[in-house]
Amino acid sequence: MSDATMIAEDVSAASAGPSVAADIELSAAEILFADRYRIQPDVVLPHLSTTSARAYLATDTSDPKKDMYALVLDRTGPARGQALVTAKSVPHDALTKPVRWGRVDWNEPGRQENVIVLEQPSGTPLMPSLNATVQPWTVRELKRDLLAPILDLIRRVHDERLTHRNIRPTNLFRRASDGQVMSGQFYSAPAGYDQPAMFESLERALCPPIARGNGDMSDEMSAIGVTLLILALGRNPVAGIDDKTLLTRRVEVGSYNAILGDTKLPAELAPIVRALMRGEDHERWSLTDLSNWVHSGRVNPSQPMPGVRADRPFEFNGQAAHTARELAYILSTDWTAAAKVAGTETIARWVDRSLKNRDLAKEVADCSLLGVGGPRQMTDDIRLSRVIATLDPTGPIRFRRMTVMPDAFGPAAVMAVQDKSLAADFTDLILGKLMGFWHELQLRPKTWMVTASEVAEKASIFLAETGSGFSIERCAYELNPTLPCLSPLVGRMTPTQPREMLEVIEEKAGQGELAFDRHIAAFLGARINGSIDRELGYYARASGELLRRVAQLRLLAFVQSKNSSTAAKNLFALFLDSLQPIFDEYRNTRLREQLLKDARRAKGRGSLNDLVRIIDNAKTRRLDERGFEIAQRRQLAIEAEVAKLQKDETFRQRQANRLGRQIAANVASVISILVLGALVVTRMG
Amino acid sequence: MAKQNFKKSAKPKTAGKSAKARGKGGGVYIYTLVGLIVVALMMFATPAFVLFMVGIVPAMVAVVVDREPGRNASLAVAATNIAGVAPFVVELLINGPTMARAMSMLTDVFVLAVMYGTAAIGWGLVLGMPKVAAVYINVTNEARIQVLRREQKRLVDEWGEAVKEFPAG
Repeated sequence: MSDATMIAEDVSAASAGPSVAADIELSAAEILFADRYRIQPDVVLPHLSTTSARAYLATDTSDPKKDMYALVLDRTGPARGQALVTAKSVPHDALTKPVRWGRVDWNEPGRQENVIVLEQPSGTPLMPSLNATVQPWTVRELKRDLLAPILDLIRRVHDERLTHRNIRPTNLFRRASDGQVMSGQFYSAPAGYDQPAMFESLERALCPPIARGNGDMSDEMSAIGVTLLILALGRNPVAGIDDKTLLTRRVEVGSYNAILGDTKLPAELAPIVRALMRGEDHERWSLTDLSNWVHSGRVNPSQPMPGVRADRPFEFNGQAAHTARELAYILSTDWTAAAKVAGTETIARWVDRSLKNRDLAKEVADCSLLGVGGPRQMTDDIRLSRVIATLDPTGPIRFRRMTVMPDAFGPAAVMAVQDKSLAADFTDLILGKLMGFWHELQLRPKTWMVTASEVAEKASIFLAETGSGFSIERCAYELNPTLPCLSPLVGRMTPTQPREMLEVIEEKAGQGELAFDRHIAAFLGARINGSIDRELGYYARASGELLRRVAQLRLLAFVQSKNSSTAAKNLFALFLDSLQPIFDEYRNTRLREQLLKDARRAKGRGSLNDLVRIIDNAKTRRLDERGFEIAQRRQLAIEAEVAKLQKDETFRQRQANRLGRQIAANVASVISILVLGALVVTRMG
Repeated sequence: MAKQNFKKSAKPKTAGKSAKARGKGGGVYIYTLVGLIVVALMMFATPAFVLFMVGIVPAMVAVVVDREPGRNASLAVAATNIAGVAPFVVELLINGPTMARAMSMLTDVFVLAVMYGTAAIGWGLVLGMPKVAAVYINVTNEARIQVLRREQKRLVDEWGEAVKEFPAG
């Protein structure tokens, strides 16, 4: 079952249950969600708000003493649907679990929001903000109050095949009752989206927040390492440094040194944090290593391999790179100039002579070869992207302005669909088969990489077609099951299901507007159960306004047939008006009137399929055409016969002559017989 | 097209042939009847035969001049002519068929007027009936045209003005 379906089920379950709304008295500003939760839109909770979602005070009408809050999600981003569903059933008291989620009508007309209702953590965040200063934590406190519960939580979350990816001091809360730390939510945005870059492992920090990917345990360890560092110091040592500068320093000197700088950590903690923040994910401490240290003080003695530094730096755009990763990083900062460099042998020569890595140099030189599973043709951009991936194989895939971890193609598609220039980059990245190239470079393949390759393959199918209902929009909705429709036509509504989309279109139709565009077509294509590609293909091929309208009708009728409870009377009426010329195409006036009559009669039911059957019936159309042809021929025959009757005087004369003589002969014969008969009677008698 | 032409030309040919056959059949019958009468009269009552032969001169003229298929004019003239001749022939046969009586009747203007007058009535029918038939045909044609026009209107009402256009293909 898809994430989106689960979300829809949750909302529908709420609205289908016994309604208590009538018994609940709301104040003017309050919003009732799922007939149970009062949301107070004028009470914002800043400490629970994130970059992707705003937190509002909420109350459970069934248990008013419980402190709840509602997260209103960013309508332009996908929530972590699978995490929502799974986390609800994770039995762990260190987790802020979602209570209910779905769509709610906000307190402004025509505005809807997707919300998640959660219980408020029973304590304050470990740090009110990352710029704040708090009492430094001792190693004992860190082990007992933070790591013990949080590591156990992360183990449970990973047992459920999820990643947390939202561990930082501002999303960890210390319970007032026992001083133990519990985690805040991690469902409102794609993995890593809400994390400041410093908490991300280096390869994921290189990506924009939405394209960081689900990650794995090594990424959780990295975030825990940074969290330990900050809490042990009681402050953020890089609070005043901007993300880009910090990122450059991390590439140059490593994350631990870049973030810690000249500051000193307690001697007992320093090697632990360093081990958690190692640049290569396979060298980072694992959950087991950290648990062993927490519970028994044992330290994993393994040390990272020292990195190879070039004796002579590679100079590019006034920057100097001493390692392959550094070179990959600086090349990606000026794509146009780097594409020219990648076309020469400069990089391969530098790798060979300065890094003294002949194998890597050969691999860099081979980036120009198309290969078996490669793209159809080599371009400068693909070559450069391959060179960068070869230099930094664990890093993200970089292509022009797009930097994305392969397990973030879904959220990255959302980013691309909102930015036309990124859409082209994303499309070329996928169709350039760069995922396959990246995958082949991995020395330590992981399970998620296989999944990512499958996702890229799926994306390439949709990106290969440019028609409405396919392309980047379809890709975004297919790869993000919880993404609401982003069409500007839906206004401030947030449909995440075909049924909801149909409701929005129906509402817009009531205002005389047919809400239908590439986004909506792609959204329906991705969300509908069963294949709608035939209808989408019909729509893509339709030329002319009228045929497009018919195609839209067929498509929406299909959607409605899959969600039969939704009547669409306004939409029916709108289509009936706009498709009047279709009725006029029928030749037979009586048939036309009959069809119109049928259509008007069917309007009350609001079933679009009825309208499709009426106006787009091939059999009726064929009969009409055939009847018309017969009528035309008959008309012609009549015309000819009339002309003959009116104009052919000679024929008429001849006919009259022949008939007259026949009559004369008959009359004469009768007279003769009568006379002879009378003669016989009189003479014989 | 050739097929249609063939059909068009074949149809009247067949109709003419059958009319000719019908006319021929009717003619044979009449001629046989007349022949039998003539033979019987010639053998058993020569005066009556003479009277008959003189009486049916208009019919014989009609047979000669009528070249129309079916020979309806000859039939009409012959029928009325025989109806005019028959009473006098019968009267001669009943009263005794002598040549004197026959000659007396042949010289009687009234007898001649009746015999030839009836033939004239036959001619009158032959000449007059086509005019009546023409009126009849005109009336039926008009009626037929009305029916066809009504059908055309119904077609236009049902299929629109476009139905008047020449069909494609």
